Amino acid sequence: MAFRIDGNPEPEWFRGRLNILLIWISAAFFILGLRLFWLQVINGENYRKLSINNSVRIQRIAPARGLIFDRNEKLIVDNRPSFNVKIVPKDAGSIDELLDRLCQIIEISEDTAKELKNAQIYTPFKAITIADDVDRDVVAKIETNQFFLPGTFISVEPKRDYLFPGIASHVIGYLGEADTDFLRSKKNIPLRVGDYVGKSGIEKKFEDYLRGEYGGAQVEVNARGKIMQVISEIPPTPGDNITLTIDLELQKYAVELLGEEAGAVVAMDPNSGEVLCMASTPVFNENLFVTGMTDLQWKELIENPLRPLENKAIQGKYPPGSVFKMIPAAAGLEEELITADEKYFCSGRYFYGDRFFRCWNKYGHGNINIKEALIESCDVYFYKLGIKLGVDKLAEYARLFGLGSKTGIEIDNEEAGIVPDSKWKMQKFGKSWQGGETLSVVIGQGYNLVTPLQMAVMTSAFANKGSLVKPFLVKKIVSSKGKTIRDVRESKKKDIGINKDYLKIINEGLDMVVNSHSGTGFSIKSDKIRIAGKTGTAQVVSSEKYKMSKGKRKKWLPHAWFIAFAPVEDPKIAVAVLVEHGEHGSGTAAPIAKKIIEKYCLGEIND
Amino acid sequence: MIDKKLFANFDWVLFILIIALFFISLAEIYSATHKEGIIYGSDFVVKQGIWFLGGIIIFFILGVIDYHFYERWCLFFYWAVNLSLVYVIFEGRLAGGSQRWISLGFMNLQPSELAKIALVLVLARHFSKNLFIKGVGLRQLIMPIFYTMVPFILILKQPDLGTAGTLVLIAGLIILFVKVGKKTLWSLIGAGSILTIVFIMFFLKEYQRKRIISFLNPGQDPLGAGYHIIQSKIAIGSGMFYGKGYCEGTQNALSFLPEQHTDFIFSVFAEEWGFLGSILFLCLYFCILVWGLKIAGSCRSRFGIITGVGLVSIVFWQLFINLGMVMGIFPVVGMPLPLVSYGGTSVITIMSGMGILMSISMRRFMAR
Repeated sequence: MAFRIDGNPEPEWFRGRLNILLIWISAAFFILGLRLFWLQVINGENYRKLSINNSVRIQRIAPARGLIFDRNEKLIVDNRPSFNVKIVPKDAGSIDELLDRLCQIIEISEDTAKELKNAQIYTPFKAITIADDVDRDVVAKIETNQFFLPGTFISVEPKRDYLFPGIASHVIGYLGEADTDFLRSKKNIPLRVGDYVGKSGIEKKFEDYLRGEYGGAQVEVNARGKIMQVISEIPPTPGDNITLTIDLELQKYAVELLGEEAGAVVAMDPNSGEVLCMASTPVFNENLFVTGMTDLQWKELIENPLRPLENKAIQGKYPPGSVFKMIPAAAGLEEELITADEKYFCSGRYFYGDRFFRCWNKYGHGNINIKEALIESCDVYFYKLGIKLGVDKLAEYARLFGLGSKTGIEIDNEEAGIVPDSKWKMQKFGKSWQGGETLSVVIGQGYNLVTPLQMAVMTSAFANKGSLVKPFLVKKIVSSKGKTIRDVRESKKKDIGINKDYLKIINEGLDMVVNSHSGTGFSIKSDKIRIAGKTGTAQVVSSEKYKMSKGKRKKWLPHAWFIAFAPVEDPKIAVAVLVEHGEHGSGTAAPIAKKIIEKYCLGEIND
Repeated sequence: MIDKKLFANFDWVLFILIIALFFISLAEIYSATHKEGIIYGSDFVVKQGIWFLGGIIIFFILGVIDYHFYERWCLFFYWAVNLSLVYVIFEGRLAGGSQRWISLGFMNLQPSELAKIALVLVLARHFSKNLFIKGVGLRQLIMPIFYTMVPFILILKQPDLGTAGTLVLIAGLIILFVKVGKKTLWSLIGAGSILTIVFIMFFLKEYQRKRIISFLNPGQDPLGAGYHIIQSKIAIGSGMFYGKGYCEGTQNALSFLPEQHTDFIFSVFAEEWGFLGSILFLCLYFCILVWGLKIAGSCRSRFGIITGVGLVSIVFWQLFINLGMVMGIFPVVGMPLPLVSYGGTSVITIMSGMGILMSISMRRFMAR
């Protein structure tokens, strides 16, 4: 026999425990039985009625997408009601008859008929949208003819409304129909094929915040699909609202200033990293993506040689031209290869290897120091400095200023650009670096590629005296209930590690570029605000080729750059302007930078 | 180990009750999946039939083996199951998603299901050595809690809150059965509720709390779960007293309850057989549970008794949660109806448990 140990349970004890357990289990079964009685006997008749027609339908209620504001809380992206025609296949009766009648009101494709017939067998209770965003008179016609249109109903859903189309389209992005991959990745969300989700820009990156939560209702319908009563309803939760760092007025102005040209303007707060404006031209109308566009409109967009869909501020890769010269200047000073006063002689050309490298000024700049070299953008001075530095050292400093890697801004498709060095060339071409190539790179030509945003970040680093800031676009996210989810005042900063005195020398040079008679940017000297800047002219073809064309072929004209910050004493804004094939930085890009700065700092427009 | 006398003790009642449920299951799966014009249902019925045959083979094998063998090897089995749970998590991570099963080629084995049986066995082994008339104290509960927490946390990681929670319920029932001292019981309840509140309040972020709710909700659509409940209630209720008749249910159209042959099989049954049939159905289950307790009661080894109770508790909880869910008493969690819902893993697990119960039953006259 078991249980012989003293104090331990005997079989009788176990029997008692089993009886207690039996009582509990019986109680549980009693509850289940009672519930069955309630459902089947007491309420059976009601449920039987509901079941006769399979008359309970589920309706999904789309949430209103989060709104988007500019930095001054001005509403720039809203939602408007749209009317969609839907059919529940189960209630539709004969599809052919129904579509015959509907045809007189709206256009219906052959596929719709097929889809509906299939759905009648496989998913008879799921409403199918047959027409999207219809006019009010269509709504009226369908409502009045409802008796002849079984299973057909109008559903009112919020639709995206971009209030300032074409102003910040590249930043905000647009919506498009969710693809199956996306749907698979968002399994817990009741998204369906055909639902609109963010496809680019802020709309895409902050999709999870903006979308909101779907609600739904269970309704009882009669045999013709008309709603008799709502059984239960879960209201949708609107998406979170987003406040951008963008100043809409400034953004609008930038787009206006770029006009017909293809180009980009990036302005940021050099201290906080807030992107004040990010314009890219040509622009596109983001509303077209929501309302649907014709084949011709789409073709125009993707075949336009000026690439309107590309956000040139982050996706456009350009040689920086002379704007790059601030980097070898900083490197030379920090590495103590040059001093502020040390002068090099420029005769207008420089012999290296087996050929002459020209200065843009063929008469030469004479004996000049680093500041003067920046002011007049002397190439020969930088050729000499470049040889002293070597390409690898130069690349090291370029990377310190954020070149060659993505800035990390929130929106997708950012390009990293290229900072060439000997290792890069070996990997890319399998060839060793040639000294002559250093001469091209040091004046911002050759393999160098940068984005306008990178240039704005670099400029900010000079303006804020030595910190690399991470640019950002989203200032605040607030839930629909008013709870602040994210509030960014300032982004991450990294000290570049260059002596402040050296940066000061360069900044003085940049100041004189605009404010001294010999400066390349003197034409934009402002009498209201002291601006520091640097011009750049980035060749796209060899100078011989360009000369031969005598400037007649626009696509061979160099890109025009201008970077600037202001006020010099206490910089509030850093700007990078790029005009594709704008020829000279001082002529096309610089005036835009000036106007942007004046508009932002003084709040006025000066022509 | 095998004795001729054993077969004289073959538990026909247990066997017949199980076979009865099998037939109900096959009939209802056919009814739930067949639809006019679409040959669709037989596929499920045939597959389920194959699972049942496999289940019966396992039932006999486990029944023939002396349950003392399980007592000896249960710790080894327990840790092997835990290891496979770790493997599943690891494999799932590699695949870039959550995975719950190990592919054996012919079937996908869910170690979390085996964990239920492994837990019952180790707890029975532990308590067979630590029993007191006045109830066990905290010291005897340290190991059981540890044994429960290991697979609980691993299954939670999968993540499968439903199965993890069932483990706690099964362990809880066994612990209550062996009797807990009053002080210990109250302190356990106190500590448990404080820990739960702290856990939810401080360690979970808003989105995690939401995620837990969606763990509980297998329906992807937050509204979908509630929709299933409404439909399920309509189906059950519309059966009224006598039911609509076999295969005459209108609510089980394929489009209505996507899971009607798995978790919602009972609503199909109740619609067709009404209150009368449903009560008889409940009685059948009740008989199995009572018979299980009877088997435990007539066993002479403590390990056998507690194992019997544990196996009954596995069936009981799944049954209670599933039926409560389809009748709209509990929220929707993914929980199959033992032996009736469509699905191989569930059938194999429950049949393994029944096999062990059979082993205990056949040796009820043997002295230790």
